[in-house]
Amino acid sequence: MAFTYQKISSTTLGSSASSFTFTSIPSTYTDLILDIYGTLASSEGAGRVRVGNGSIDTGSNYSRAHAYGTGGSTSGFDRVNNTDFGLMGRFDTTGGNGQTHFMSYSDTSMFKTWLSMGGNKTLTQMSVNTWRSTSAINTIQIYPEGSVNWAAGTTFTLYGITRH
Amino acid sequence: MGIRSLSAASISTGAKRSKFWDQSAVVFTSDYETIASQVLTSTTGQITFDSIPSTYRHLQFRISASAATDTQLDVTFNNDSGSNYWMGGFVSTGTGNFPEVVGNRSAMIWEGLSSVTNVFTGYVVDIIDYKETSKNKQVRIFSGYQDNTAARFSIFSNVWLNTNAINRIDLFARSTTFKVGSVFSLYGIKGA
Repeated sequence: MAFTYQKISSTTLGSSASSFTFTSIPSTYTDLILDIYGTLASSEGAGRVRVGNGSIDTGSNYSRAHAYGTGGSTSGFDRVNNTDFGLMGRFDTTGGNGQTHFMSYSDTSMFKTWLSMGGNKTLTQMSVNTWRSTSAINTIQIYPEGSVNWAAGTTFTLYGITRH
Repeated sequence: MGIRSLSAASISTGAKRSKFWDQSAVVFTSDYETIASQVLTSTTGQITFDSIPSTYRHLQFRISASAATDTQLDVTFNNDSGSNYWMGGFVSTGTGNFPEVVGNRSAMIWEGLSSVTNVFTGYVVDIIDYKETSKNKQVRIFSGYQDNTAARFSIFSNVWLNTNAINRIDLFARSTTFKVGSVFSLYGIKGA
């Protein structure tokens, strides 16, 4: 029985890892929601995401714009033709979270837009991102910026929403 | 449809029994359900969702939409075009951040439709307590596009100053039309 809002996959790291990848994502949903709750093994920074069809796209096919607040100030930036999606949430060694909505991820008539927000104890961010490809997304890779690792206990959960 | 069981007992004595089980429907229900969905196969300036059932607690729109020219997405509830819509939020282009408060509007604004080829703005919109007749209707919007030359994304908390239950929602591409392929999906979320 297929429900409208359904968990596809969830993993909690048993040991630290430099990245996490969802593969073989079915094309049967309309949108995807990716939730991350976790910590970094060291340092502080955003989660970065790359996607692909069959394999992760590492080409200059992503664009993003980002806004964040630290309590005392706000800022942001706009990036085009950038290899990194970047900016899924914000994490540090005490914890953080991020939620990303991949809209119409398998629709081959459009580029892939996703919306992300999240934060840690010192910074909250939101972003809009585009993978300039009409291919369906069936693989998603998430890694921390700054070449640091996800800590053990970090959880990655992918949900599918179906337009019946 | 029923399931009939024929007992083999007492066949030899002539006392034949059978038991008929009524099929008890086992209904799998979800707290998050599709109400209606439209995928455009031709251009149009207006999308309507009507006869919205009152069986849910909240509503959620999930939209991927594009327009013939850059514009805004205007929304009305229950055909109300009076000055009853207020918007408060935060718009960003990445390079600039702009707080906004707009009131007494004749339609609710959901930010930012792009006209760039293959670029569809994403919208995740929550309509809270849509049927509660003791509350004005709160709407939370997270939306955005990045078309590789410009970006526009925002979070808004808006209100329709009306306590009537929402049973109709109209979406307009202001002064233009939605593109073919635009997807509009309305979901119902159950609650106490």
